[in-house]
Amino acid sequence: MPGSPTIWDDLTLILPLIVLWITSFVLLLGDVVVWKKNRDLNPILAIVGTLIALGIAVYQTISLTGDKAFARSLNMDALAQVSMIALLVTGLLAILLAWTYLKNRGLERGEYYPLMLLSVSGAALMGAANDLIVLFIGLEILSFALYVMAGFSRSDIRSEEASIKYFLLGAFASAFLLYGIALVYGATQTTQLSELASRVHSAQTPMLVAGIGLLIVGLGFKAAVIPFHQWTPDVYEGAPTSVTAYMAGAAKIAAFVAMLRVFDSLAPVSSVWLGAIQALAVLTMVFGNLLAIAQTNVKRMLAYSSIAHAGYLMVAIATLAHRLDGPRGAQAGELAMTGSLFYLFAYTFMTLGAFGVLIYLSNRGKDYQQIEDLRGLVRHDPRTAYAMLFFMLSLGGIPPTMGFMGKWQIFYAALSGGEIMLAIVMALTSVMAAFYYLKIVYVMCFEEPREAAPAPAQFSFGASLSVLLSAAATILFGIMPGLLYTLTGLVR
Amino acid sequence: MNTLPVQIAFYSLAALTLISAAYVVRARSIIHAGFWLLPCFVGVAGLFATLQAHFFFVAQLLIYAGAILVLILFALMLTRDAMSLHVPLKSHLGIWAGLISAGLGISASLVLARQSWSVTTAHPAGPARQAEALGEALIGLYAVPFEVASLLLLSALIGAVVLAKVERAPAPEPPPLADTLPEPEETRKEPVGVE
Amino acid sequence: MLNDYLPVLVMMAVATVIAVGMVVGSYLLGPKKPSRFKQSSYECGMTPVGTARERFPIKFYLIAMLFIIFDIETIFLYPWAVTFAGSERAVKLFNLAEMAIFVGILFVGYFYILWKGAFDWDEGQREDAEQPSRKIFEPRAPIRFGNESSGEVRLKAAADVSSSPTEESSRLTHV
Repeated sequence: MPGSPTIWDDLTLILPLIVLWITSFVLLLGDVVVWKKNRDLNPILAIVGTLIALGIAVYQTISLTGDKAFARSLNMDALAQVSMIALLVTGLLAILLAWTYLKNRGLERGEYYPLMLLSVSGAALMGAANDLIVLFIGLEILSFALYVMAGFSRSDIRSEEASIKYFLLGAFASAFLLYGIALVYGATQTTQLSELASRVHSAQTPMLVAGIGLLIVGLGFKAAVIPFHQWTPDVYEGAPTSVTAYMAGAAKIAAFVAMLRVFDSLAPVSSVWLGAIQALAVLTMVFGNLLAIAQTNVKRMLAYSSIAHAGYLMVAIATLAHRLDGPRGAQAGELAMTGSLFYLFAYTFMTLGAFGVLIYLSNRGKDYQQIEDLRGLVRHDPRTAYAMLFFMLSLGGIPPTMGFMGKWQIFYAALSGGEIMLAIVMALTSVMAAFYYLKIVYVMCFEEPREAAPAPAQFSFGASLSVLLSAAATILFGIMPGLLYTLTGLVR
Repeated sequence: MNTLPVQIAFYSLAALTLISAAYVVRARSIIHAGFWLLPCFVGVAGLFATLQAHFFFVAQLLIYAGAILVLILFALMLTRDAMSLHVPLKSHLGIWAGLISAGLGISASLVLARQSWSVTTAHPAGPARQAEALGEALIGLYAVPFEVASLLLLSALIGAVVLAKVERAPAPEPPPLADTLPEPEETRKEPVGVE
Repeated sequence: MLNDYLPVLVMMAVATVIAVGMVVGSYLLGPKKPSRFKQSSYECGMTPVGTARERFPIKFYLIAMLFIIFDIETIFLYPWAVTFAGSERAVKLFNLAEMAIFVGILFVGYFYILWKGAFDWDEGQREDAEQPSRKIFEPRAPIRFGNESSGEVRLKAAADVSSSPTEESSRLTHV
């Protein structure tokens, strides 16, 4: 819209993103020129920038100023703004974790935080995309930064393996997504999601079906849905733990908010994709949980757990298909939308918390990764052990925690949308999941430490605060979910 | 517009692209695979030309054939023994890969063939008008993707520096020429000065 | 219509004819008195040092990567410039601002790599070299090279063969 007076309004709508970008530029240049040696300034400034962006995002969400912006290529509605808040919170917790972890591992390089802020902005663009092109570029910004961050520890061969594996498979998946976008465009002559919703019904050709299929593959890869999950365990294990924590939260939020958007506008042709989504959901829930049981490495276990959680979120996507089937379906669709956002909040708190515990323990001069390493933790570090206990209970979906509330909402949405089968599979696999989460609790609390008490972890501000915040959120929103409903409930 | 010369050009360029792409996959030496990308990229550029997408013709040549190919070759030459490395082509996955890609290719062709395309009979715009239209799209309808693409390039740039920049202590002085170090026997047998 | 591309085709044909003609012509016309020294690979008149099948230092890759990024930027400039030339005065400022933002963001990257020293070819001299990275130059076998007039000249690649494998592997394990 050249010369249009609304350009400033549009810019105001993406103000949180602009703050993120400017912060990352300042960090990037400041680290090489201004404060070369003062490494602590990087995370501090990154936190300040993220907090400002978060404040603006929260203000804009509450004042409900959202609208389509920039020639309708962005849709800054409640979904975009709430997902941006979720991403900024994830970024904040991840910066705190990285502060501790990078210092412990000697990886403090100035590029970490700018890359991370850029990737947060990419993820937020995915969540705000009203155009498949914006979605694609947002995905690429998110992914590029993650490829690099996964290989951030250049002297560690596993980190490099994680980076190259993630990059090659990610590029492959991006090609699928791009081809899917091209085919959908060919079938409907539009890339705008809001246009798509009104055109898809009359454009049901084999090409549209093929395009949707390729979109599912491309987005399914990012969301780590079985059978597109092979990269997940290796990348989660190999990448520096602070990167794994961030990646787990941010990539999942971005991929699922994008999926919610895409499949929301594809709801008129839900018969085309519902079967595929259902099949993927069942596969992901069953095999994600089964494979997690066999793991002995906490990071790998959490990788499979992230796959399993993607399965639960796929149930919400499947429920979205019934959005146009009468008032009951519409209600179920709304529940699925709000429920999955709640779930994404829960997931990011509990996963970053669990990784945060590992990072906190890495202060002892050793990289804590194996389940064995946690043996008898409650004896020599009870507070950390209790935090881990809460995260495990929450990941397992056990009542007084946030994980339970999230799972319950998706379960309820699936039931009211008529996805009885998926709801049953979800309940059964959740029981299965409790096994491996409780195994960690058992190892921590009821087994004797193998060696004499190791050197106590030094206090480190970043990881402690991050774990504390995650734990507080997990419990608070588990007991009083209403506080978060006021936010997620806006997404309708 | 679909005159015979254009059709001949289109199909021969398509054949060039496909055959060289097949060589990229099947070449035993990765350096050869890298070089086979050149006719592949040029073929794609030619396809753009036959489709009268003049700007993409130039962009394809400039970016892919000109820059990305060089980058790929550099990357291959960073690899140890890239020149003499021969990839074993016998792989138990090869047959599956072939089947899956054949299946995908055939189904994609069927899907595309069955689509009723909205064909315009208007004469396509000239190169200058095309570039202008593209520019208008970039600053108007697709302003956000355009601006954000620079952030993508920026993160790629940071990534390149983070992953590839050598940061090391000063290297030790290289030993003087004609140092007396024992020579491995096999190098003696190399044909001297003969190609 | 392929008429637009006729000049391109003609030029390609001329280039091919000249290139092939030079090689074939010199093959047919030139006198052939081969000697061992003449048949050695040509390295700008110097005595060849080692084989050409050599690993490249990663610096080349970095430069190529940076080149591509700015190359892509240039591609975006073309259509913008055409539009800019044809646009009205009122819109021009807006268009200029959009391109300024695009280029400005890349300029941030440019100054980053400039100040970071990614353009410095000799990295070893920099003071802020912080962490040891893996060796790029592997030890390579010295090559003997015959020279007709001066007898055998022994040349050795300038490689540091002394670092032991254990030292290398200890650097690889993480801290």
